[in-house]
Amino acid sequence: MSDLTSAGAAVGGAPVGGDGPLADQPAVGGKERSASLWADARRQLVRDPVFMIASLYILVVGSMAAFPKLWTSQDPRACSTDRSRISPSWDHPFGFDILGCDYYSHAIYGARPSMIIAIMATGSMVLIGGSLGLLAGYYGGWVDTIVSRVMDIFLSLPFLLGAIVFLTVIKRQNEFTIAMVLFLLTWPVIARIIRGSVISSKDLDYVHAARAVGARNGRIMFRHILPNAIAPMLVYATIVLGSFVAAEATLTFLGVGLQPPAQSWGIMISVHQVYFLEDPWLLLFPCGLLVGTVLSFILMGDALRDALDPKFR
Amino acid sequence: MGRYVIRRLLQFIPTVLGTMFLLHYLTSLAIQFSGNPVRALFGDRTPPPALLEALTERLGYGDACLDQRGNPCFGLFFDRLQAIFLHFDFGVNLRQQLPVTQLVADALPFTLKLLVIAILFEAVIGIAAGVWAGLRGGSFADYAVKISTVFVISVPIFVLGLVVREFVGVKFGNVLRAQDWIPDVISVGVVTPGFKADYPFASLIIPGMVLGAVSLATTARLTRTSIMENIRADYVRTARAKGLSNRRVIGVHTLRNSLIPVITFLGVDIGAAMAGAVVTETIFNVPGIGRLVTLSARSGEAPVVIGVVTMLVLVVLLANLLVDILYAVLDPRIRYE
Repeated sequence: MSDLTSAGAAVGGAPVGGDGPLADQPAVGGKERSASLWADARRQLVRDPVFMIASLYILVVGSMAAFPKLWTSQDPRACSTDRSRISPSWDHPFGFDILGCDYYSHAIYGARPSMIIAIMATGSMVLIGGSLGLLAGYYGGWVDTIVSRVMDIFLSLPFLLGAIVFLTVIKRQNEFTIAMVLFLLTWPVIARIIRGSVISSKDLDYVHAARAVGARNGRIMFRHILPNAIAPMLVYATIVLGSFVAAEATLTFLGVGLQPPAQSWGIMISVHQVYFLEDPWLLLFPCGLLVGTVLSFILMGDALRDALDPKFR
Repeated sequence: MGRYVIRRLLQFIPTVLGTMFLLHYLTSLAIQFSGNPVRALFGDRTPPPALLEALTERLGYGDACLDQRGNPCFGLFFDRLQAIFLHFDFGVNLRQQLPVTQLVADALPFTLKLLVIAILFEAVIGIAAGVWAGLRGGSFADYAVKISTVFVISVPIFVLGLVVREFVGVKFGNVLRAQDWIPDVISVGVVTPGFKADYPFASLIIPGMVLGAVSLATTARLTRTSIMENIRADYVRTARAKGLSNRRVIGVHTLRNSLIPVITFLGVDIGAAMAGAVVTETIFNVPGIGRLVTLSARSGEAPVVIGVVTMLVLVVLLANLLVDILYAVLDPRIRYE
C-alpha cells in the first residue's frame, strides 16, 4: 500500500512538495525513462508562471487553514451588534458582518473547513477509489463486473442531488460527514480512470517481463503498473480538490452543509446574500476567496496535465 | 445495434435496483434513528395513539423493521418494488397526501423547461464560441474564449446565480420596469429575480441560462480542442483540394467529426444539469423537481425521495444510452455488435 498512501499524501499535502516521493518511485522500480518523466514535469512546472502563482495562492489559503493565528490576531467570535455591517476600514480590512463580528478573521478561519473537507474527501477517494479501480482493472472477470456495477449505481446518482439526499437523511452535518458523502458520490470517477489505465498497461512487455522473473501480483500491481497509471489520477485529484471546495460552499448555501455557529465561506455567503445590493463587500470577499481557490486548483490541474502528458512536449 | 441496445437496457436493471436499495436503506436508517416522520405532522401536540398508529399504517411507515436500528428492511423494500413496478404506485407524501406521481407530474414541466433552455443555451453558444476560437488558434478570440471559460468553470453555480439574480433581476430589472415603452413580458417576465406563475416560460429564461453557463465553458473548450485537432486532418485537406467552399468544409466535414466528444459531454451533462437545477431552482424559487426532492428529504418523506430520485436516475441512464446510439449515427465508423 506504500505507493497509494504516498499518493494520497501528495495530493492532500502541499502540491509543489508533493512531487517529491512520487518522483522517486519509478527509480526504485528501475525504469530510467519514467523517472525522467517526473523530473521533466517538475522542471516544466517550476518554469510555468500560471502554475507557480496558483500554487502560491493555494499555499496562502492552506496556511490560513492550518495556522489562522498567523494571519489574524482577532477572534471571529468577539461580536457586538452595535457594529453590525460597518464598512471595511484600515483596522478591519473586511469590515463587520451582520452580527458585528470582525469579517476578516471570519474569512481566515473559514478557510479551514473547506480545506479539511476537500483534503479528506479527495484523500479517501484516491485511496479507496484508486485501490478498487486497480483491483478491477488488474483481475478483470467477476471482480471487475462487481466493481463496475457498483460504480454504475453511484455514478447514476446526480452528484448534488445525491449529496442533498444523503446529508438531509444523515442529519448530522459536520466536516467528517460532508467529506464522506462527497467521497461516496465521486469515488467511481477515480476508480474508472485507474481501471482504464491499468487495463491498457497490464499487457505491456515490462509487466510480462516482471511476471516472467517471478514477481507476485501485489508487486506487479504496486511497483510496475501503478506508477504508470498514477499521472491521470494526480491530475484529476488536483482538479477535484477545487470542485470539493466549491461543493462544500454550495451544500452549505443550500442549508444541508455546515451550520451557522461554524465558520466557513459558504456560511458567509448564505448569511449575507440578502444584503448584496446595500453592502456588496459582504459577499465580495468570501466569493472572491472561494473563486480564487477553485480557480487555482483547476489551473494547477491543467498545468499538471500538460506537464505529465508526453504528447504536449 | 438492436442487440447492443437490449444488452444496455438489461444492464439498467441491477443499476436501478441498486440505486433504489441504496436510497431505501438510507431513508430507513434515518427513520430508525430519528423516529417516525408522521409525528412531525402534529407539531408539538401529542396525537392520540390510535390516530398516530392508523396514520402511520396508511402512509406506509408501519413496518416493524423500521423500529430496529440497522435492519436493512428487505421485506419493506420488496413491497415497495412490487408497488412501483406492478401497480405504478410510488406512495404518497406526508402533508397533502398526494400521490408521488402527481407531485412529479406537477413539478416536471418546470424542470424540463429549465433543462431545455440550459442545454440549448450551452450547446448553441458553447459550440459557436468553440468553433470561433478553434478556427483562429492563438488569436485574440482564442485567448478570450480560453480565459473566460476557465473563469466560468471556477465560479460555483450558486455564486453565479446570486450575482445574476441581484444584478440582472433586481437592479437592471428595476431600470427596465421604470420605462413605459418596454413590454411587460420583458421587463416583468424575463428580467425577474424569481419565477413568476404569470410568465411560466419567460421567467425561466434567465435561470436556465445560469444553469447552462456552468457547462458552457466545458462545451466551448471541448469544441475548440477537437476543431483544432480535426482541422489539420487529411480529409479536411482533401475536401479543400476538391475545391469545396470553406463553409462546407467547416460546417459539414470538420464539424461532424468534431462534435462527437461534445455530444457525449452534453449527454452526460443532462444528469449534472438536473442536479444543478436544485441550486438554480432554490435561488430563483422555481417549483420544480429539485425543490421537491430537497423539501421532502428535509421532512423525511422516504417514498417521495425514493420515487423521484429513481425516476431521475432512469432519465440519466436513458440519456446516456441515447448518447451512445447517437455516436453511431454521427460516426459511421463506430459499430455496436
